[in-house]
Amino acid sequence: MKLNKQLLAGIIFLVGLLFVTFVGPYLPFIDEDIEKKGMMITENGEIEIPPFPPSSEYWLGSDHYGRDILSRLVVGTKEVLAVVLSVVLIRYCLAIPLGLGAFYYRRVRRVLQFLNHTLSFVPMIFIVLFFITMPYLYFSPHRTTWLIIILAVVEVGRVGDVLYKQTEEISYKPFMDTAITSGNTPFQMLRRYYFPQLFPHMAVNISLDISRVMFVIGQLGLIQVFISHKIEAIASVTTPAYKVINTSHTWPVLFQRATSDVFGSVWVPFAGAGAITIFVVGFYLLGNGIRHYFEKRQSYI
Amino acid sequence: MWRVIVQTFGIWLSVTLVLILVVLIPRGNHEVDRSLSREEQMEQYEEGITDFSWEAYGNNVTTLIQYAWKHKSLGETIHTHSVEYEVWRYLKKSMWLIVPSFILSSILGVLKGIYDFYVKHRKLKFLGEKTTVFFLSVPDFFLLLMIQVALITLAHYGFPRISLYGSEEVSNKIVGIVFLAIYPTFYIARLTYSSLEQQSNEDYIRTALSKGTHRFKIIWTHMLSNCWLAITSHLNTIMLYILSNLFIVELITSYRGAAYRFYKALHVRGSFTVGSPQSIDTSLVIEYIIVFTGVLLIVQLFSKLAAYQLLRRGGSSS
Repeated sequence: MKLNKQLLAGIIFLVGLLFVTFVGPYLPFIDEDIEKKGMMITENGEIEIPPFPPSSEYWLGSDHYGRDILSRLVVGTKEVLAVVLSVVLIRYCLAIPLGLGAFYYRRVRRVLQFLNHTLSFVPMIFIVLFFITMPYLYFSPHRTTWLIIILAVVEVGRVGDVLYKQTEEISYKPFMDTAITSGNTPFQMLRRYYFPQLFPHMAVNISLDISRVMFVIGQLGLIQVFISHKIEAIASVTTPAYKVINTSHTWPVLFQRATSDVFGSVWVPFAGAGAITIFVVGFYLLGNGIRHYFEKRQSYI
Repeated sequence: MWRVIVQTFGIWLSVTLVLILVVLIPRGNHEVDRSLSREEQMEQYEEGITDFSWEAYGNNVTTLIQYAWKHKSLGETIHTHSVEYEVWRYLKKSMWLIVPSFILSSILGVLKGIYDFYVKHRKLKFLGEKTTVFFLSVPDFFLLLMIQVALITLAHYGFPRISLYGSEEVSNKIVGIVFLAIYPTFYIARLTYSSLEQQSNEDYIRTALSKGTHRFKIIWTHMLSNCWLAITSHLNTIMLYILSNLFIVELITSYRGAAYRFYKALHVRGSFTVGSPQSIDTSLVIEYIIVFTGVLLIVQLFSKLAAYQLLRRGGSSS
């Protein structure tokens, strides 16, 4: 059998990711507490201020507060993974009943169609921007949860539709006629015939969706929308003033000054973008690898 | 046919109305009692801002309608232009990015898809599908940052300096178009490729091959005509992607276009003082909503008309 390189690469990536998530923070060269450092004295006795460029001490350089970027990336992995997986989980929890429901009931199909038509008029980033500027959400202590829900719901229609079409396609297969004639109840049909067929499709879709969600979160980071934030008082003389600060170590936070970092400290946004890229590509390869694994086709040309 | 058009139009109208109603949700009372302690001021502020009342909501809606009715405009900006002028001014610039990148990516995407399929079993295979997969999987903002840094670094070493920021020069527009077109091009390429792949075990191809038709001719004239339906049905997705990405491209390259203005009109705040209003430029936001969803409406109507024509001619949907 021909080696499925994509699947192999995807699995290696997945193992690596799990290793970084759970073992990474305890590795010797990772600073788990992520200390800030105001300045650094070089061997020549010169004083350097952060961001420090990549060196033997800071493998990927440091950010604007002198924090080691590699440590930030590694420590942030768990949070990134949690956010991305919860978005995908919520999305599928809603999409699976919707997709399968659409296959069985005409009313659910209408709902799905309506959802799809509606969302085909609003670009993703548009709708997210829209909601996060609402004071209700902005000040809400559950802002992170809300954002995750919004990100999940925006694409429910698409995912449900894909699932519906795949189920319908399976129902046209010849073995379905056999299954019906041999007297299976609808529930048995679902369990014995649809689920085993749908499972590979789902694995592919979920993997690709994880990749997409990470991509979108990265995009949002570039336009200064972050998943979690905290409102903190800043020094002021007369009226009280507050600043929105990012408490997390998730990767897109490194984009905070991307537009100006491009000129001087390119390693800061690049580290974030690099980590996101590896994540996105990894899950993309995994998804495609699974697809190739289950796919059998012939070709004349 | 007319039913589909009316239906699309109806959905567009309802979506736009709902979005406008969301924009009009009152943003609370921002005033605070200055005689209170600072902490109490903050508490009062937060409470006032997140306080929702139907009365204020109704007020917002009626004021907007009355104003629009009376002045035939949605208001003025702080620059004392009418909102319509402001929207048009920025939209014009964005159109210079959206339309060319949409057309460019459609054409190049189909060509790339055909190329990928054509070289599938040849030496140049590595330039084919692999590159498409690469560009599809690598986030385009990563490429965008890379290209920006590369151009800046090259300028250091004596290469001609290319203006990357702003919206006035031709190079700004070209850079924006290229950035926007990257992903859609490869998306369409992938679509074309898989559509061709799906047909590759059809019997008519065997017949054509046995009659001695050249491989390229089979792909170009016979197989491609079956791809159009699949491609037109994805035009909307592509436009959605372009519009979404427009925000990133315009903000990163400081291109003063519609997405940039929309972002500014929403006032995404990084810091605020207690007592400052949490308002947005409502009328600007409303008009941009109409504009953005309008662009998508046009694309949807186009793709539905095209699909109708294709189906009438008897293309198979694959």
